[in-house]
Amino acid sequence: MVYVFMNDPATGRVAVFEENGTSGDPEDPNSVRNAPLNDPVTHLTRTRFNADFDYYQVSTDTSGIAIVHPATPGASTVVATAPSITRVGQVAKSSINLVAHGLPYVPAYMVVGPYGGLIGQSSLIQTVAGVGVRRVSPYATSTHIGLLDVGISSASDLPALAMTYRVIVFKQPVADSAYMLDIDPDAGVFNMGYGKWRGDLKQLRQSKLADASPFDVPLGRTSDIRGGVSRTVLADGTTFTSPNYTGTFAGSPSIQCSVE
Amino acid sequence: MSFFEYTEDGHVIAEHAGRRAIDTQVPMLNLVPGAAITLTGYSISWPDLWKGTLYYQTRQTVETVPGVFADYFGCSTWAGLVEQEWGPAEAAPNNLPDIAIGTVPAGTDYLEVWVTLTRTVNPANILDLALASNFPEGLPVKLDGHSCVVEEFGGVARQFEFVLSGTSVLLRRYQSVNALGGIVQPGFLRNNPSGAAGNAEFFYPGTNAPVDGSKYATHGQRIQQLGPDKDIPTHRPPGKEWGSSNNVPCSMDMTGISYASTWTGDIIIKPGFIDAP
Repeated sequence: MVYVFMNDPATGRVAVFEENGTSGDPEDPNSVRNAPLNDPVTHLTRTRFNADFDYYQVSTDTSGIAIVHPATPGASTVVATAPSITRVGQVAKSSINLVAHGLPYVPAYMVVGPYGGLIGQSSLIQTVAGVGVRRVSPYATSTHIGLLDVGISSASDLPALAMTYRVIVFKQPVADSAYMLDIDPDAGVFNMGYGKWRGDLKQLRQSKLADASPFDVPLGRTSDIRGGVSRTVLADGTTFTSPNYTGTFAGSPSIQCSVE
Repeated sequence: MSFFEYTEDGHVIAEHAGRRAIDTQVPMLNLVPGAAITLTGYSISWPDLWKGTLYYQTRQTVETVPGVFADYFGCSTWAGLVEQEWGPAEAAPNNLPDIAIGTVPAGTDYLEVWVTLTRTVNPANILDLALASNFPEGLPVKLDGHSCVVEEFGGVARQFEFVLSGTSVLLRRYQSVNALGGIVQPGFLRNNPSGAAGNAEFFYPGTNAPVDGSKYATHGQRIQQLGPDKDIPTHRPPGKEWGSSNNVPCSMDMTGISYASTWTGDIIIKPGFIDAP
């Protein structure tokens, strides 16, 4: 297993990849062993960097975002009088801005919960037997990264919940340089792929080097429904189960990542 | 200071300003924009749920003036959902087959999924409330976890998810109704007793929703309520009249009451590789 750094001025590609065998001229960008350079999609698993691809490079990384999710008042509502039928509980929705991203586009993002894993869509974060449940769904707008909070009560109040989040916002890769590869130590510049990738920005990668503040990223589903209700298993294994869930969902594989 | 280094064991390290900007032992997330699956105006749909009809008849005796009593009669009818599980592993008629929506390069081990959806077919109500959605309608959502419990309330839930299967990306759907009768207590047992003079409850079966007195039904949308009317003991289910031959039952017509649901919008799935173990 040998990795190489190579570029091909004829195609404009620059790449870091594992050699595709040992056949061919090592210095020929079109030789079999260097095929990942100019055909990275076919050789995806050998690729560590290619100018054709996009990378999650950090625009902002904000920790310690303290949110108090509001209580959902209990409710008993008479919906019919002959006979009297009473519906217990209600649904309360609110939108919570976590962070203003300050970018002129809707960026990619990750919302990390207090347990060390990403908060997936419609994740349960509170289940109180006999009382209710709360789930949150991250989203992006042109200005903010936010959470849709949906609390469902019973005849009793679903209590407020204090949580702390981390939001990582990623820069959209843009080819804004004339140089395929630009290394200028005096100016502190290290760019590849015509500026799409910048060496001065942290990026999402596997956490293998005792990185600070790693978090778990799910590689499959984080929720399941059965018995008319749901279970959430976050990427870090934290589990929230609605009362009366009848399934056996135990979570999906995940991978520990960091932004370094 | 920036430099590239080839290690003795065959790796490449690129350092910049004192940090490892690239280290082939530590894979970055590679996303392949040229292989993205883009679906515009795509609809994710779930079918109607199995349901029968709940029929309540009531009789209330009221002392209108001292020593004078009057009977008030009424009825109400509701869609009644029975317990059911739907998904790709369920047998017909509850099978929701996976839908292939595209292919990704071999070796893909990560999906960046963006969805922007709006509910375009609303399911019928649950006890006068809309079946609550958990999705931020109309907003761009990055579907970390690839799954979404898109609707859930009162013992009724729906989920969609995207599944990477080899080089195929599948859309998978589930829907589920519990066996506990939802959020009305006591629950409505699926009995259909003989006619009676007083208060009574009847379950009228529907497709795949049989009478079964050991199980509950979940109240769905109200069909009709009549009364309470004084001394008009006619609000009885058809065939179970009592005290009058001029029966005026509550309707059991569920035309237009459907729990089918559709969410429509744009989906962009960008394949990636992070060398997951």
